[in-house]
This record gives sequence, structure tokens and C-alpha cells, in this order.
Amino acid sequence: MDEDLALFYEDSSDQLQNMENALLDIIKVGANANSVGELFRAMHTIKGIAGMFGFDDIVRFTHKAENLLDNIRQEKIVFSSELQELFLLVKDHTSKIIELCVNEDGLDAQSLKEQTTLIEKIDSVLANGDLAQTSATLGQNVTLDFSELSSNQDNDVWHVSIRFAEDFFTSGMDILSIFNYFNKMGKILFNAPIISGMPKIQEINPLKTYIGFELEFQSNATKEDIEEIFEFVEDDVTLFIFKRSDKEAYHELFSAYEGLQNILQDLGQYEEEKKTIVPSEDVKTEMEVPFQNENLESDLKVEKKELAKSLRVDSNKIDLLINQMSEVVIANAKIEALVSKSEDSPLAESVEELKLLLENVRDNIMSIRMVPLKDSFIKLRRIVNDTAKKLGKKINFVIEGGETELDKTVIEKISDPLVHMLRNSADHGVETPEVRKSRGKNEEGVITLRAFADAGMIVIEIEDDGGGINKKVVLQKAIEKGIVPAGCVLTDKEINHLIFEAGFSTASEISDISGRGVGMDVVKSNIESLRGSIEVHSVELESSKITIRLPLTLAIIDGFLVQSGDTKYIIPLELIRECIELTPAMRKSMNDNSYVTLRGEALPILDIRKHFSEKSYPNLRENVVIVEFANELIGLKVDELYGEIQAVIKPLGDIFSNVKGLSGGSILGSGEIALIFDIVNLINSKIERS
Amino acid sequence: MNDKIELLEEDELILNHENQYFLFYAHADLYGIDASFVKEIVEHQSFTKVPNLNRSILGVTNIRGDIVSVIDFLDRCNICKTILTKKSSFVILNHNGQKIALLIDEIYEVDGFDDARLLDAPKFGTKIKAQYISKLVEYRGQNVSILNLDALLNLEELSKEVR
Repeated sequence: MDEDLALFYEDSSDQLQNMENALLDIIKVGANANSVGELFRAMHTIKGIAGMFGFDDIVRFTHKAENLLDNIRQEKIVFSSELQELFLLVKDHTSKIIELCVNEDGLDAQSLKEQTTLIEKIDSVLANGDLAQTSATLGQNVTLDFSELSSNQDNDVWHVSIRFAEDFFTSGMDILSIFNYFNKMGKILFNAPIISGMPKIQEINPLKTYIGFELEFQSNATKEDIEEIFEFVEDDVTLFIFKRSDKEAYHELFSAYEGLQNILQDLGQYEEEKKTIVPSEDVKTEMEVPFQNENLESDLKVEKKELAKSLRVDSNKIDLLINQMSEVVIANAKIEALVSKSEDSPLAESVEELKLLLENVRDNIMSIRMVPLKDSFIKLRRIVNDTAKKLGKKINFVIEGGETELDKTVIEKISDPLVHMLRNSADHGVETPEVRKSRGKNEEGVITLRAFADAGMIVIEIEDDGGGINKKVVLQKAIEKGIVPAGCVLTDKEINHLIFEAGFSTASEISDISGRGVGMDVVKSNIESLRGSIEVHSVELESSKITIRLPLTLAIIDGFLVQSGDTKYIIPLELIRECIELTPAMRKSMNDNSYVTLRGEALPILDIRKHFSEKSYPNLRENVVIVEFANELIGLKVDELYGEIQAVIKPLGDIFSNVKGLSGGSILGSGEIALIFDIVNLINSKIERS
Repeated sequence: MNDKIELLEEDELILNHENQYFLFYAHADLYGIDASFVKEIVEHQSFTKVPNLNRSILGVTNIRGDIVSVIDFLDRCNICKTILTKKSSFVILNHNGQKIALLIDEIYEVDGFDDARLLDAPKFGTKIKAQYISKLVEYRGQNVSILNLDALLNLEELSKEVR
């Protein structure tokens, strides 16, 4: 996919998302001018950009949809719930054809068929809707137009002189669309194309612009408003915009363009003694589009504001920036270390100041990657709605804390697990209305998706007020599957966590909604691969809550620096439970086994030195870092403990791709490199081997 | 204008079939590497061992904030372990997108050879494995083995876990 195409795809995905949000709003709280406007704008934008890329299929289809929306907007057609459903399909289809077009596949037979049915449906709605059009709305339209026409003529008639640069067309704009804007803002009373710049026919280059226009334009817009029409092409046009009553400006115009005075005079549009011009329908350009003016104008403004708010940047650039910034912080740490030796206190102060500033800059750069969870959360609404409908359940999906920000790469990676868990909640959690009634609950179940920041991590909770986890069934299933031995007594928490076990599935209630592919064990390992954790809490018959904790970003890790042999290692801090010294007594009790008994439990010990086949020196002070992995404690035997460290994760390179248990490296303040443990893989590879 | 001059120079290079080579000493023998792969040459510096890999992979080092793998050239060629001296250097290579620091004994020269002067490597009889050598050339009375980096830095071979 080339770059422009990728941009088109991204843009249209955004628009589709807007559309979906608006649609879901409409389905939930009913249509209003705003949400319909939103829909229209999104569809319109897609049509526009698709046109630029020459995707005729998309243009044709979106044009139909846009027509329908326009009618809804003008209240000629009621946005009924059937129509809303239809529009969801239209939206889905648009997204599909965009994908097909971007991949240059063209439409396949199935989507063509789908398209034809959808267009037929839209057409029939359009036809019926027109009939249903009430005379009241018609009358309203007429009066609106009329009031505009009869507004004070002299003061709001502008003279607009436009000359296009020869290579205007290369700007990607169309003269026609400029006229469309004019027609949206007001009324063109008079239009004189100026063709004096036109060369002989054999010299005409169809890629070049030779034409200019002198317009009399009636609108209550300000000069700035008119100038805004040319916002995107201001370098490619020469403009004169002034009130028709402004004689001075006419002179200025005529001195700029020789012979123009005569042309205008011949046309009766200019006299030294100004005469009033009767606005007539005939001089309207044929380019006029029958839109209701005020709405669109304000719509356009809203769009522009939104454009100015954000800037699209290649995420690689930001990664690079973060990387380099981290280097600067590290380099500064070196200086700091040197300064602290020199006892030069003014210097130390400046270095300290610099350090704080640099840390601020780093935090700010990090925050570029942070995006609010809202957008990805709202996408999930559809999934809950669909699931609920399919199952005949009533579910109110509540989103809380959507403004919470998280690293974009993390968001992308949790979206699948979230989908799965929400489906689970809707399918297995919330009961059918009848059951809920019999349990004395409100017929409508509530699923809450909540996000908030807590202690340097982001917490995402999925809570439902459904039946909770049936511990008896779960335990029985687990015994059947041999996950736990029969007759074993487990705490409630342990039972709840059984749902994360591989191979555990409540197969008796499998449906086409949940139980497709991803199991909860996959969800759990996905979350753990992001260095996050997952917990479940459930009260039978009342509610269940899944809590996910995630680090703010993947680029930085809070770690614990240790040394084993000649190599320094970093252990992710959130996995560490405690550190103990391996006393000679303990070593003796180990008696060449690789476990110690700690507080009455056997703790397996992984000797890092041995694991990585390094030479061992006896009689060294040895320490054990105890990490928790999959609800089990495991000790890592290392030599030195250095302490906590914030490390920037860097890849080690492909050569090291087969070394199990290392997820990357990090450069320390001293310039040395420490290797970062991937505890999950480290222990898995150990278990595999034994 | 500038573009044209550059083009001419490029043409000349192509006409002369002359490539630039970076030449270095290792164990008193001269070796050459196509200079277009050489990113920079730095004094040898400390590195962090990465366990469980091919013996010749010494570990990783920090080259201006990048983590770069360090490979002992002589050990890679099964001659011996390089003994570090004042003249030992890291040649930073950019090979297939991988940055690799090759530990060598001493820098010698960068020079161009006409392609016509390059000889095919013999099937056997060279100190290092014949597959690591792409061409031979005589330079100031000494034999230079031009290295075949694809074979020398074969990722599959290097990344194999060793226990």
C-alpha cells in the first residue's frame, strides 16, 4: 500500500468510526440534528476522498447513502429504527468496499450483490420518503430561502474577483467545488468568466487553468468567511473581495487587470454611477447545489476546527524521538555521576536542573504516544449491542473513564482480549430478562467498562451484574478436565481463577458468540505479555468483575537490577515478591537440589548462572529474587542485587532471537548494557527442559 | 548541475569496476570487507556477555545508544580467540539491517581494487573456511582475502542456541 493510500485508509477508518459512534448514539438516545450531521459529514468526507483516489465504486455507493442522509437531515424522511439498522449495514458495507478498493482487489460478487440490495433499499426509502414529505417542512424551506433573498441587498453583496494560477489543478482542488461553497454560503447574482488569458486552442494544455471569474455574490458572510473558501488554495489564486458599494476597491481591481473595466461595463455590471442590480434567477450558475445553507456552513466550520486540533505523525518518528530522548537522559545521568564526584556545587545544581527539565521533556514525549481509551472502548459498544440482540438480552453498556490515556501499542494489543471478555460477560454473565426478573433484578443488565489510573498502572475493569461465576460448575468442570484433582478444596479466589486455565471451557454452554477461538487462557497470556496482570472477582448470582492492570507504556520498564556472573540483568519489578539472601544454612539444606523450603513451602530455585551456562565461583554471597509467575512463586538465584531502575527497553537484534528468557536490553547510566528477563519465557523454557 | 557531476562520477566508478574495500589485520593476515557495509570503526570497548550462543558471539555493546552484537572475527573463523591489544578495534557493519561489531586486530587501509584484479578463492588451502572468502587480491605484496559477509554473518548459524 503506498503512503497516500494508507493515509486514505486511515482517514476513512476514522470517518467510519465517527459514523459508528454517531449511529450508536442515535440508536440509544434517538436522532438529533447533531448526530445526523455527524453521519452526513463522515459519509461526505469518505465520498470526497474516495473521489480523489478515483474509487468510483465507493463514490457511487456513498453518494446514495449521502442522499438518504441529506433527506433525513432535512427532515423529509424520519430516521426510524429500521432505517438505523439499514444504515449500520450501509456503514459496514462502506468499510468493506474501502478495504477491497485499498487492497486493489475490486468488488467481489458477494459485495456487489450486497451493494445492489442496499442501494435498492435506499432507493425505495428515498422514493417513499419523498411522498411522506409533509407540506409543513416544504413551507419552512421556502420561507427560509425567501427571507434570505430579501435581506438587505446593498450591504451584503460582495464583488469577488478570482484568478487561478496556471497550475491550480495540481493543488487537487476543483473549481466546481469552489462554486459549491459559494452556493452554500449565499447566492451568486452574477458570474462573468474571464477568458482573456485563454491561449489558442492548439496551445491549450488541459492540465492548466486559464480561466478567472468576476462574481457578484450575495451573502451575509464576512470577508473572512469568503476567504475561507479559498483556505486550501490561497497560494494558487489571486483574490479581490470587497463590498459592491466600495468604489475605491473597484479602482484597485481595474488597475490590477487591464481591460477589466470595459468588460464589466459592457456586461452592465459596473458603472461609474452605480445602479442597482435586480437579482435574477437566470444568472445563477448551473453549478448551484440545492443545500440548506446555514447548516452546512456551520458544519464546515466544525470540521475545520477538528482538523486543526490534531496532527498525524508517523509513529516511527515518535518511537525514534522517545529512544533518543532516553539516551539524552542516560547521558545526563553519566554527567551527574561525574559531577557528584567533583564537589562543585553550582555545577551540581545546574546538572540537577537540567535533569528535571529533561525528565519533563521525556514525559511529554511519552505522552504523545498516549491516546484516550475512549475510541477503542466505543467500538466495543457495538459488540455488546449485537451480542445482546442475538441472545435476546437487554444490556446497558456503560463506559467510565474513557478519557484515561494509554500507550497506543498497548491499546491495540488489548482490544482483542477486551472483545472476548465483553462477549463472555454478555453471553455467560448477564442473564435473560426472564431469569433476571425471577431473581428480582432489573430486566436490563448492566455491563460496565471502566478505566482509571492507579499507582503508575492503568486499570481496566469489566463488571457485570449478571449471574457471576458458578463456582460449583467451574470446580466440577475443572475436575472433569483433570485441571485439579478430585476432592481438592479450593478457595473462592482459586476457583475463580480456574477460568484462566488452558483447556478450561464451559463447553456445555458454548455458543456462536463466546467460545470462538480465544479462550480466557489466551486472554491472560496476552495481558501478561504486555507485562500486565488479570484478576477476577465474582459474587455468585450478583456480579462478576474482571480487573486488568497494564503498564502505561511498553517502551519503559520498572525493573530491578541484579548481576549474575559478568552479566547484569533486569527483572520486571511488578513480578517480584521479595528478595532473600541465600544463607549457608539454606544452601546446605538444598543439598544439590534446586529448591529451598521457605515458610513451610517448597520454593523452586533457578540458578541464573547455571541456566546461562556461566562459570560459577563458590563462596560468593548469593541472593534469591522471588518472582510470582502464574500464581506460583519461583526463586531466581543471582549474585548481586543493585536496586530499582527505570529502564528503556531496546531490542537485542535478530542474532539473539533464539535465546529464551530475554526480552531485550537496556543501556544503563554507565553505558553498560543490562539484559532484561522475560520471566514468563524463562520459566517456561526451564519447565520444558526438566 | 550537482546531480550531473555526481552521475558522472558514478558512471566512472561503474566503468572502472572499482570498489572500495576496508582492509584489516587479524592474526597477521590481511582481510578485506566491501566498504559499503562498513558503518564506522571504533576502538574496542567493554561489552555485556549474552549467554547460550555461538562461542564467537561475545555479547552486546553500546554504540551511541544502539545495542550492537559483538562478534570475534578470529573465533568466528575458528582460528583462535582474539587477544585484546591497544590496536584492537570494532568494525561496525550494517549487514542486512543488522548492526554487528566485528572484533579485529588492527586497521590497515581503505583502497579501491579493479574488479579485474580479484581472483576466485581456491576450493581449499585457505586458513579460514573457503566459504567465508568471496575473492582474493594481491595488495602491496600481500594476499588479501575479501570476506563473504553473507556466509560469515549467517544469521541462522549465529542465532542457534548453544548449551
